[in-house]
Amino acid sequence: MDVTYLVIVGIGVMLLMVVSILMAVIYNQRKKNQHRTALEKLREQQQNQLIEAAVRSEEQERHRIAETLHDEVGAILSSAKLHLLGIKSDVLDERDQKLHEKGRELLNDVIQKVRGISHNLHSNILKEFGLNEAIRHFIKKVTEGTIIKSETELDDNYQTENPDNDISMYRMIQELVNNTLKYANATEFLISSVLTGNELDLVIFHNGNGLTQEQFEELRYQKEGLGLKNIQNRIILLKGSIYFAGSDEGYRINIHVPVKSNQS
Amino acid sequence: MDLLNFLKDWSEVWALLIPLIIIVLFKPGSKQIRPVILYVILGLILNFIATFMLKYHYLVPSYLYVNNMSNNNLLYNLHSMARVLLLSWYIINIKKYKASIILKIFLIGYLIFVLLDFTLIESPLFFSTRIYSAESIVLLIMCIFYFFRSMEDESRTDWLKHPSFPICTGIILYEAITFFIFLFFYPLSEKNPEFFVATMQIYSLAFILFCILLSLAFYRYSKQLNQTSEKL
Repeated sequence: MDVTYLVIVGIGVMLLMVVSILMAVIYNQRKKNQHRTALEKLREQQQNQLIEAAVRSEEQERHRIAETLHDEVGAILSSAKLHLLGIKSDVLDERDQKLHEKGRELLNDVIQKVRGISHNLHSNILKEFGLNEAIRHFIKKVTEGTIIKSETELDDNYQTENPDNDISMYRMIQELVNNTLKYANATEFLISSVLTGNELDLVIFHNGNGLTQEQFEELRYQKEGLGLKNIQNRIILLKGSIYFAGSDEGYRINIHVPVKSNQS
Repeated sequence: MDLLNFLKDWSEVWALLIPLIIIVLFKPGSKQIRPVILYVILGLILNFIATFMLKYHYLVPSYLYVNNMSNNNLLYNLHSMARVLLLSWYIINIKKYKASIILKIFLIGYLIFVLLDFTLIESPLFFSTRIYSAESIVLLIMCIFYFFRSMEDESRTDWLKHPSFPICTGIILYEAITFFIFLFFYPLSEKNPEFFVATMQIYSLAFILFCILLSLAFYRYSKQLNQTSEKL
């Protein structure tokens, strides 16, 4: 065979071999990538299912405790109050009258507190009147009789699409507002919401010392930051996002939630 | 035309300047890449002297003359050996495997072959097509081994983005093209001088492509280093 053809054929065969190897490597890597993506998706799905189960069971437990407090403890306390009121105080001496009065006051306090805890654990307003009304009621309740000025500007175009999601959003607002009142020393705050298409943006703005995004990222991995961890879990569950930002005017917490995605 | 001829004649020198510029500009600091950096520097020096001797043979000392001709073959032989040793060193150290021992034994076999060839068969002052063919065989096997390893490796799925990928692609393409050119170097130059000249141009193009892929790898190594330092 002529050496020229030998060289041409040789180079051709070698190049064909090299291209085949490269193609095989590229194909193999693509397959591996697809497999990895599928695995990651599955892992994410499992994680979401776990979070969902944890959040739902927490909610069920809250419901159960709220019901027990309201129906059993509340009923016993009301009955005790009735019994106490049944005592004729005018036949008692002055000392016993004072004790009777004190006992009545304490019993009233306990009944109010139990009712408050029960409502806090399971909001009937949320169930019956929706997220906006529940938030308004909650804010009014926590700021009433304090020096804190609060305002709510909630978008009434928002209609409940998924009650479970509303519970999650309400719990996040509860946690964040409680944290603000506890740690931020705020004297004014505003809660607003805007519905754009299928996306709801909730904003908590206050003039205290709030968290920055970096602090939130850091705290939510700490054992003590259970509330923040719950917020993060609920955000994952809702497929939303949360962002903390501070400026000279005050601190802002933005919660972005797709409101119809969980329905499908 | 003069410029084109100049570029053609000095292609083996300026082609190596491309990766060298990338090294200087982007400073790939990884230890892993050091044998390849060493190869670029050594290759550039050897190719520069070899091309200089070819172009300005009247300046070459007389003891380097063979058959009354200026001789730069020793430099080409050295370049081929440097390429095998340094690039094999790099490929073997990309990721440690048990099978790397086989490659090391293979490399020792190559060195024994070179030693025997230059002591018993031919002088290192002659252009050794055996050495070039052996180079191709060794580096082709090294690269095939690398690609199969990357396919087997389940621990990472980003081999295509790894800086070693363009290096091994460059080596395998260069060696695949040049293997038959050097295997039939002398018969081809005698029987078909025109085609022989054409193959030399193909060889030059393959070498330029190889250098461009080395440059890409250096750039990737520097980016990888920046990302690591950013993370730290």
